[in-house]
Amino acid sequence: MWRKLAPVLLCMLLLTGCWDRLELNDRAILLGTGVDLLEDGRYMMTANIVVPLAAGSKGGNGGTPGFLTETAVGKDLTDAKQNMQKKLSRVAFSGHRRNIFIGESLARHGLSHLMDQYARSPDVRPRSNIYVVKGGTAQQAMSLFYKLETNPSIAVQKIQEKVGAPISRSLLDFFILINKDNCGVMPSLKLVDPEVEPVKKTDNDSPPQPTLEIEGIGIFNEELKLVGYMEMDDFWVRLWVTNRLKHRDQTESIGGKEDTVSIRLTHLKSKVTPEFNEDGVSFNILLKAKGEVIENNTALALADEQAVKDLEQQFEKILQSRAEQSIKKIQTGYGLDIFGLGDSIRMFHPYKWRRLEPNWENTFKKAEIKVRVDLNVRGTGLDLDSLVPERSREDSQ
Amino acid sequence: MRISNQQLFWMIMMLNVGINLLIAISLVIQDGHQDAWMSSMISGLIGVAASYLGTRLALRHPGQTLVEFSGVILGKWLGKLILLPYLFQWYIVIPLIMRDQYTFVHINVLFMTPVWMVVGPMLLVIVYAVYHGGIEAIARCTQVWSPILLVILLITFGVTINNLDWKALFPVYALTGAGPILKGSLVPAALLGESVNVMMLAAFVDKPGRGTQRAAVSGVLLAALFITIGILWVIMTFGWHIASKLKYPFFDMVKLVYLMEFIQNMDVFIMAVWLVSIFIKMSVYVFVASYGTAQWVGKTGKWRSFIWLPAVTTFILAMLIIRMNVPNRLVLNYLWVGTILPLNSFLIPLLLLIVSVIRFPAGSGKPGAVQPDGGEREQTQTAGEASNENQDSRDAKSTNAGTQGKAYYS
Repeated sequence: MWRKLAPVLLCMLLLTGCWDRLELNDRAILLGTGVDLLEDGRYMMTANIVVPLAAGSKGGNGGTPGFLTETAVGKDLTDAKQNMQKKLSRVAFSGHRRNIFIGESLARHGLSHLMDQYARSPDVRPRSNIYVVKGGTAQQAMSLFYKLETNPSIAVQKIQEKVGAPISRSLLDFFILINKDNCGVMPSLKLVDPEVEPVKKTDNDSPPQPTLEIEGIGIFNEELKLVGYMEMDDFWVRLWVTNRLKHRDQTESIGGKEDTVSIRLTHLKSKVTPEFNEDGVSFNILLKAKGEVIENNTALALADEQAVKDLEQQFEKILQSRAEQSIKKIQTGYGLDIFGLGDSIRMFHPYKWRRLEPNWENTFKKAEIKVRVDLNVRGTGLDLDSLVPERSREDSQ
Repeated sequence: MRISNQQLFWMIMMLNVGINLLIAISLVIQDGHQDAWMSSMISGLIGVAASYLGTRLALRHPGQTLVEFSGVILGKWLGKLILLPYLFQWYIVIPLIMRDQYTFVHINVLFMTPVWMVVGPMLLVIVYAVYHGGIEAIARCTQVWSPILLVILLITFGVTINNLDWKALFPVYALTGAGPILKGSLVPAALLGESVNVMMLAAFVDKPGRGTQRAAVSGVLLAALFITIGILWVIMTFGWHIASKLKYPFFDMVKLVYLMEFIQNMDVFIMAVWLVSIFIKMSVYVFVASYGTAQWVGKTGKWRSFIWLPAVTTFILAMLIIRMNVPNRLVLNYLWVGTILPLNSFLIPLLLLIVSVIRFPAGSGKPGAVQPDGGEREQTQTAGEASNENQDSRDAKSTNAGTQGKAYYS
């Protein structure tokens, strides 16, 4: 009897895991953290902590936010976290953290003495997003009350997904890029005010509030210093060239300013082919996409096959010049190969790459880059012809 | 104690897969870069060669373990002398694996828990299994767990597929070259080369023969296949730059799984499976160490009372290694690659095989006729030499084998 019972009792003693026991009630779950650089050179960490009761009920909507923002200063992240713990009744737990925010001044100062903890600490998940807050501090971005979600930390992550960029891995992608290509990018956020400041007449009105917006990407050089931004208009070109863009609605004016056509681009693919000549390299970039016309404010009668073909060609030309401009901007402005063009040489012409690599930045700056777009418009929406009479639009031209 | 060929196959597979996936991957990638998968394939071949050599030798002396047939081949004292490297390996490998287990568990879940609390219970379970059932209990445990391990590994490869970028594998060969690829293959080769210890296990197989050889070789092959896929996956997930800097890249890869909002945090499964694999590996080594020592000093029948020896040395050495924090790289590169791989996995078995072939040419009667030790091995050996047709009588024999005649064998 006792011989059988003894192991069971022993197990009961051991399996409680007393040393590392930490009840959920004792944890403060951090959903996002942000870091800013103070003027005296210390780091200020801001944390977005779930307020348990508010998050359980429909947090946020009633007016009380479902999160708590706490802040602390320290020499590095661990120091700051420990200082923050002095203000928290529960153990700060970053195992569920999804988002990391970096203030612009810190990004310009450089992240090389900061980012180690994001991968080394066993407390954190490798699957995180990291953002640089353009023209603001991480604290500003994180304090904002975002109405659709209980927490602004969750909001930006979902926005990112909706604009067609890869989700939840920008931290890993950043690490991969800076190790491989000596430059890095991370998505950038911006605090934006409504275009027109509305007047709140009664208490029940809900006019647009200042909010967060995914703006594009921040570009980092090999010292992990922020050197510039790529805005949404250019950002999608990089996503497309690097085969990461999932979808995009592209609007272009055909002819007059108001004669716009919008095409929903899907199945976006790219192929980069390097060509070698005496004085360097040139690249041919082929961008492929399938499209569907979803808005047509021109006089074009899209029921006609030929009209669609023409539209296709016009769009190809416009997209091509846009892409070339965007690439040129980066190439001459920063000289950083964030499009991964060097990869196409490294992958398929390794022996040439070995020769080019030491001086790649200069070679890249001088390289001639040609873009060709292959658009295949497969549909024109629900209308055969626009329900807006054609002559009304012809007159307006 | 009898195991089947199939159980041997699973055991060899399990011995190799867990430890390699955990500690070898980043070391291979450090040298092999994006071509580390080739290193892994080469190491698979080396492992196959070692296990082939081991079974080849063991099958020449059916029913005898390495300790016995080395005496038969080289004579009593030389035979004992040549076993010293093996005894060293058996006693040092368990605390080293224990250390890996501790580091892994410590960093991932039990941060505050004291060392003895992580090492002790694991050791207790191992001693329990080895004491009560010997190799047979371990084999049955393996047979239960291996398919589960395989399924979980396959699921892991499946759910991580959308994080993969095949471009990370390019360029193939050109930027690394033969030297680094071969160098990268050494660490997993040393670990896979441990399969040569099949020389201790083959004696317990109920139907020794070609099937045994096939089991050992295909066990290593399957393990090498999984390790190669693991390395491919890791490189395609992180790129070799990152993968070579991570301590447990395979585990980190599983941490990245994020599918349809609710399939995430898969790492617990991998941790569980990995612990089972490590448990099997350590149990086999504890068995081999205690049984081997017992035979070495000539007290085969009392091998159970020798279990405390590896248990105690493991506990003490593990605590020591953990306290001194001996770097894994050093151990693997100098001790394993530098000594154990060439000596234990190839030179000694090769020497034994050559002498065995010269002294006992095929058809010159039973090489196992010399029987220095008494006790239980005598029983097993008669069972091994008995004709293979009558399974029942052999089972009855081993069931009645002296002190082993306990209920759980029936």
